[in-house]
Amino acid sequence: MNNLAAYLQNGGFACETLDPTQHVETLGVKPDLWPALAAFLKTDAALDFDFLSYMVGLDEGEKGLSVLYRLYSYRHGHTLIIKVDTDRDAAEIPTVSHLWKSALLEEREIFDFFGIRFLDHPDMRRLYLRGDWNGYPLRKDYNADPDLNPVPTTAEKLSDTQPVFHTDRQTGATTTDEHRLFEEEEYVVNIGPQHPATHGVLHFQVSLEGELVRKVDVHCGYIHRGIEKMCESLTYPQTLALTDRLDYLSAHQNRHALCACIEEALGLEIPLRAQYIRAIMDELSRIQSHLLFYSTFCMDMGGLTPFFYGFRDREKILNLFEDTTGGRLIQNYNMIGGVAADLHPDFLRKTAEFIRYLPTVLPEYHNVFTDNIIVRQRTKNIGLLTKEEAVSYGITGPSARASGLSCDLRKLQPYGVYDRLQFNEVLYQHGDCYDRYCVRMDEIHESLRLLDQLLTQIPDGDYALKTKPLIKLPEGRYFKLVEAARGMFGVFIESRGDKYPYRVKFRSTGLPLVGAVDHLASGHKIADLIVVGASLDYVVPDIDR
Amino acid sequence: MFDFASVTGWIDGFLRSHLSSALSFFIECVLIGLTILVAYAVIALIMILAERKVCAAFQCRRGPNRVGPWGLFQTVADMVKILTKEIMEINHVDRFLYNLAPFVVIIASVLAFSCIPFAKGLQVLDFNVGVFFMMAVSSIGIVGILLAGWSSNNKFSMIGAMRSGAQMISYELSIGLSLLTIVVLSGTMQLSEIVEAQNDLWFIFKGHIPAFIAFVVYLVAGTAETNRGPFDLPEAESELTAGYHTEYSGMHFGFYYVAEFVNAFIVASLATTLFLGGWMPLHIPGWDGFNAAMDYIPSILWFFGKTALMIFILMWFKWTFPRLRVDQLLTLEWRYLLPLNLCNLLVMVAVVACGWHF
Amino acid sequence: MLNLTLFVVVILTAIALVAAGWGIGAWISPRTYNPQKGEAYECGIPTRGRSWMQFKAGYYLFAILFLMFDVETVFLFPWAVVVRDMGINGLLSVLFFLVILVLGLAYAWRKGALEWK
Repeated sequence: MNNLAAYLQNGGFACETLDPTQHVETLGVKPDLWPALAAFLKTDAALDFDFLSYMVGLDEGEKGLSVLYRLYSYRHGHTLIIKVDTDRDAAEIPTVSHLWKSALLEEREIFDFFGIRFLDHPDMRRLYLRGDWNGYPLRKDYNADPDLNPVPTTAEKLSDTQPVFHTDRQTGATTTDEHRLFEEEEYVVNIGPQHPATHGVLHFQVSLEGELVRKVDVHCGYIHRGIEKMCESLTYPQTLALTDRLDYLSAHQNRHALCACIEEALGLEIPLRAQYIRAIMDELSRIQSHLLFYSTFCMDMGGLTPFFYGFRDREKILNLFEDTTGGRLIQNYNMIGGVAADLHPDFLRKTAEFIRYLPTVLPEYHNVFTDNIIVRQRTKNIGLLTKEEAVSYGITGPSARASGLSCDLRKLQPYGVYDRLQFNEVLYQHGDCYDRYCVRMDEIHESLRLLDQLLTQIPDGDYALKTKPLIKLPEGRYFKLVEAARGMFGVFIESRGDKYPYRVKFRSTGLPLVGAVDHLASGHKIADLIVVGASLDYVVPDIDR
Repeated sequence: MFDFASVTGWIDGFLRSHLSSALSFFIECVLIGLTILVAYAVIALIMILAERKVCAAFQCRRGPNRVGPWGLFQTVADMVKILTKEIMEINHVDRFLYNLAPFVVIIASVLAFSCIPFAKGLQVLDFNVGVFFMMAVSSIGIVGILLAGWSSNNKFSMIGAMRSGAQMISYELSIGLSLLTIVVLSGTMQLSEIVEAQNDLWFIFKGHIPAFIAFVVYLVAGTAETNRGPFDLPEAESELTAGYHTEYSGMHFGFYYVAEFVNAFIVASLATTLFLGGWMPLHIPGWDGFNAAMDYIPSILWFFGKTALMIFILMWFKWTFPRLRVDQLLTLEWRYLLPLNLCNLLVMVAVVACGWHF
Repeated sequence: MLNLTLFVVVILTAIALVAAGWGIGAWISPRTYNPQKGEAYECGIPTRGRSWMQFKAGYYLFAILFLMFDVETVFLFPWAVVVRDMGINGLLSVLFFLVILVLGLAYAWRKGALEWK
């Protein structure tokens, strides 16, 4: 839609257009106007912004704090960024978590890092840091003195209550309130952080009634490394090393996003061969990620034999990676302007062999696992996620495609060389664990198809551009989204023209997934909670960053 | 056919001719105890090694292959290792029950173990209510697991023990009814007589259709009874970390581990004894030459060969199927196996009453 | 030897097995003190409340049903030993008994007691 600002002015919302140079329209709005505007943006038929793709907290120094909301409409395909400013000392913004459920965790994250309190948000606990942490680390005036936050030697006392902030309508003062999370006599079990089925150090507090799950409360942050904060003190080429350590199963795709974001900001046109190499590596990453998904899914359901099948074949991809990049899990391969080195001389031959090999073993996977009656009964109609819920929770990638949501960025907003390739977006309609499983198994076939085309089309030429050793991005805000193995991975960079980024934000593919676990698993059994978690296929370092 | 009774008789005679009757009685008791102890431990070690080798074969791996030729001594090394592991003191457990539980589990397992007729004349306990006795002692094991889960004061243990209780009592019925089917056919509950009764033909052939159904039901229920996959819900690793033995460490945990494997052996050997003739060689009525040739193979080989086959089938189950969910588990028993078993029992009675068996 | 004597011997053997394993384990294993070690394992997080609290055991109905059928099995064993000699009479005499039990199962099934909730 053109001229959104004018349309909103007509609707009675005073907002100003910011940064006219940006290709995505950015509107600034006052906090008190924001709830009404948000509801209008969500419900107006011509706008229909149903997807809050991510929220970014910003510290603008003297000007105070602000939050960027990046909205997208699946129906109309348009994007809008809303910037809400607030005061530094009394940082308060009304919540939008009732409109977009993905804001439930995102607002907690911003509260955790910036201290912005979201009024009427049902659960304003810190998300990543301990409840007794002093200060808000992503504020520019944060005091990192270790004496303020010594390394704790005792376990955190988990609170049974959730603080809520309201605004008093008469006085305008903020009042606090508490929601009760668990009753005194509830049977609450900790699943995680040290648990075989949480795929890392994720912590679910689960309230049980016999075998039934009543409520799941997610605790993140056990592997929080402050990667976004670290980026602020690293030069752009240095920040690249950190993306591989987010979702380590989509290492290539994550780094692809960051490199592409920086290249777009610099206006670099990278060589075609480099683009093909990136696409090949992205698809290989996707296959190995889905193979690992298959393995862990089987293992969580107690099938240990198929677990080894997945790992056996994933090993072959890791060997391909190792030949060219030297790394197996963490490859550090994409660079600003291309890739770090040309493909290994044997790479194309070996990859072609692999593409022929994998379809011969996949039927075995289905024989031993997919077609098993126990598997079908345990996964069908378990953890149902509708398309609307998937959009609201911000779920993307295979988990959303299992609910029939067409959200493949390779199709929606083709990047790299994906517009030159033939492939289908795998869609299932039912949205249960079985469909989430099937989507990934089918995506392996689609990725093989893509690889086949990529290998035949790959041109000769340079694998990288020569770039200056010191990279400074022009002032501005830059977004880049790619389709990682488990959904939409986004990079946001705010540059002030320095050699260091002013603020970097990575849109996690996994955070929306764990946000939906309570909804998906409540009312099912403990065993189903594990299957739901496995079918969502989150990677914890990507959630915690 | 070699009869082990001659060996035991010779030892008895030898002792009595040299020592007083009370002393020789005492020495015999000690010898029996030692034999059981060694056999129990050795079979546990072999079972664990076999499990690891078989599962490795299913999973495109080699399994243990470093300690000794083909990794044969791996489990011996593991046993030494587990002995050197600290037995931790856990706060807030019900100390008496917590320490009692491994005893209960092992006593149940050893009692059932000593009922098995390993070969002709090689059986420790031979009650005339043998089958019934086996059922009775195997249900003592449930008490041990429930005690372990309850006394640990751990939520995972508690849920695991609850699951285990429900699972084992449910499948106890199927085991009981399928054993009953064979008792109807054999007309005795004494295990040695049951084996002797299969002299002309094994019961699985003799009782044809109902015996075969009972055999399949017994294998399924037996797998569930020993908490082996796909019925390993009480210790479902991906759900309850380690289930009822979460709080046990070192050798304390080792007892559960060993008992689990020996129980699998007991289930397999009981299947062998009741359905496949135990140590009885394959005899076919009328084929005298063939029967005589079969008798040349020692009875102990027959027993262990058939049991190994049964164990392989149990392992095949475990490494193929994913775990059931608790409601599926109970549905399988109460809606399918139990009615099937009751009908099967009646069919067997009809077969026996009308003389339709071989 | 009498079976009962052997029975006692076997039980003593089992007790000796556990005692020996435990004794050797306790004797040769190292022992270090750490307050964390004594905590109940719940994925590394201190337990909330007690685990000996009211717990909804959905297995209760199954336990009752089990009692019914297990006692039935006990009654059937003596019958099973002699049914061979009783012939068709044996079948008919126990049929009545079984039918009543199966009716009980059918009733429980119908009432939804076999649904796991």
